[in-house]
Formats: sequence, structure tokens, C-alpha cells
Amino acid sequence: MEMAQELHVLAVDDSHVDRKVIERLLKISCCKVTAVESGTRALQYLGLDGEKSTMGIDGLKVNLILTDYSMPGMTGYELLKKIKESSVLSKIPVVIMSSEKILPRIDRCLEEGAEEFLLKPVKLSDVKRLRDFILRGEGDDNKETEKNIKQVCSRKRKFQDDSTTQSMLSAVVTAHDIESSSPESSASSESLQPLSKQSKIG
Amino acid sequence: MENQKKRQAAYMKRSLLDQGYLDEQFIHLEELQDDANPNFVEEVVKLYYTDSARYVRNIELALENGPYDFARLDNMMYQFKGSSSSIGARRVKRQCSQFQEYCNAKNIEGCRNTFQEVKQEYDTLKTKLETYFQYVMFMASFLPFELCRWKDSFTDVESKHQIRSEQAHHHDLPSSS
Repeated sequence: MEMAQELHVLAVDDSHVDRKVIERLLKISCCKVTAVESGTRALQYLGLDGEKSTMGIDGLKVNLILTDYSMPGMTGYELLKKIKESSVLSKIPVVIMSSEKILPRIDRCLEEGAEEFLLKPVKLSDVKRLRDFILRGEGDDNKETEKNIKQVCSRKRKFQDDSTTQSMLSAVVTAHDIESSSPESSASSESLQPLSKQSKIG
Repeated sequence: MENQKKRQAAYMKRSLLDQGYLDEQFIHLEELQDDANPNFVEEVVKLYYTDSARYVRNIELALENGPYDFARLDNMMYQFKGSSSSIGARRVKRQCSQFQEYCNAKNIEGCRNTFQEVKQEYDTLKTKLETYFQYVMFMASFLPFELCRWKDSFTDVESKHQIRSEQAHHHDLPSSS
């Protein structure tokens, strides 16, 4: 997979407020953002609405899909399913956001192939951690790119780094948490614990 | 002088937090502001007002006549609660949850009464935030002694209205910065 200078994130949320906030969080984390209001729009953008896929064009390449769960029309779960069913798009990591921590719902999403489930309101530390995870997942030959992005990012940023890992442990549920009885305590904001689920990752 | 302005704005914000109108999510949003995006929070809050007006109107209509679709009422309030949570509107969020409980209990009177509380908390927060943003943006150029009047105005609705109308006059004055 080719690695662009910035991660391109497709954010899907029907709430204007949440779209604006997530967009800001992503921009601060040095991600290019495309924010859409529905699953339908998301699929159109990804080229999955029956027309020829536009994913071949570098500029539109999406590295991560961040979607709200509860949306009118198509839920985040339904969007996730459609993406994972597509041969072209299934490798794109999908992260679900929700203000409700409903374990069966979280379970279902992770089983369907979601990378993570974030509790709203999403924090800057969540987004940065996602970004780092995606960067790592792109492979060893991109360590240089990762370093470059971090350098550019720290030059651009004027705020303090949010290094609270406590909130990360309580607010984020991953497949690892579901499968094991106690969360790992060695998490830091710089490294992401690899998900231990068997199923497909990219 | 710069530090003094910051302290004054911080005092107002502290009051909002202490009295439970806002929670730490509001602080997180402010941390996302920088020189290039100095009004981010105010922009988000304006979007919140627009969205909220729509949610409130729709819920009001749905509460008017039976048969009552409690699932739909719950869903609409869920959306309003979500937005409220995203800006840190703690009291509003709490009333929204209360409303949802009455939906689950299919108690229409409970819903109606709680909805009045939701609107009340929302209106109060809106007034306080408008004051806060006006202060942060505009009062920064005023002298520190204005802090006392603002401090009093915070819990006293009447003097707040008086100060706001006085401030309206001040808008006509040339900027001192």
C-alpha cells in the first residue's frame, strides 16, 4: 500500500457538531479529513454506489474510516458491513464511534471487522493513537514517513500533548478487552497495543 | 495585562464548571483552539444552537398529540443529548437522560415535564455562554475592575441584563486595543 504524506480520514457523522469536532481533532493530528453526513454519502465518496470505484486515484485514497454508530438511514454498523464486503475497500480500517457503551453492540462491530470502538466524546488522545496505529500498520518501509509526519506535526502544533493514558484505557474498547478479563497496563500514548483478534487486519 | 484578561475569562469559566453547567469536554474543546483557529469553540457552540433548535422543535411537535411514539421521542432526545455532550453541556445532558428514562417508562407526563426542564437548562446555558463568549472576545480590552460587575452578574439575572444593555452601548465605542 502506498503511503501518502498525510493520512486521509473519512469521517462519517450525522451530527454537525460532532463532524466539526472530529474534523478539528483530525486536522490537529495532521490528517487530511473528508467529513460526510451519512453512510450513503460515505459510500458514494468511496465509489461504492454502483459506479466505478475511484480508489485508484491517489488523491482520494482513504487510510481510515471513522464513523458514528447511530445514524438515520444507514447505521455505522451497516456501513461497516458494506465496506468489509467490498473487495476493493475491505482493507481500509474502520473505527466506530458511539456515545453508548453497549457491549453486545461493540462486540458485533468488532466481529464484523471494526478496528476499534471509541466512546464519544472522542478525545484528541484517541485520534492521535488511531493515527499512530494506522501509520504502523502501513508497514516497515514507512518508518521514514512516520518520522517525517511526526516532525511536521510537532512543528505545526502549538498546544500541549495530551498524554493521559488513563482515559484511553477506560474509554476505548478493543477486541483485546473483550477477550481478556483485564486490560493491559503497559499502554502508553506513543504505542498502540496490537489487537489480538484473529480476524483480518488490512 | 494579558495575564489579567486570561484570569478573568478563566474565572468565568471556572464558575460555569463549578456550577455544573459545563463539564471537562468544554475544556477539551478549548484546548483545540490555537492562533489559527481562535474561535473554534464559539463556532461549535453556534452549530449546537442551530441543531438544538431543530431537535427541540421536533420533540415539541411529537409531544403534542397521541398516539405517542416513545421510541421516536427517545431517539430524538438521544441526538440532542449527543450534541449536548459534545460541547460539555452537563446539566442539559442530565435532563435529556431523565427524559429518556420517562420514554422507556412510556410516561408521557414525565416526558412533558422533563422536557420543560431540558428547555430551561438549555436556555440558561445559552445565556451564560453568550455572556462568556462576549466577555472573552470583547471585554478583554476593558479595565480589570469590570470583573467585579461580571462576577456579580453571573448569579444575578437582573444585573446581567443591565450590564448587557450597557455593553450594547460600549459596542459603539472605538476599540481601545
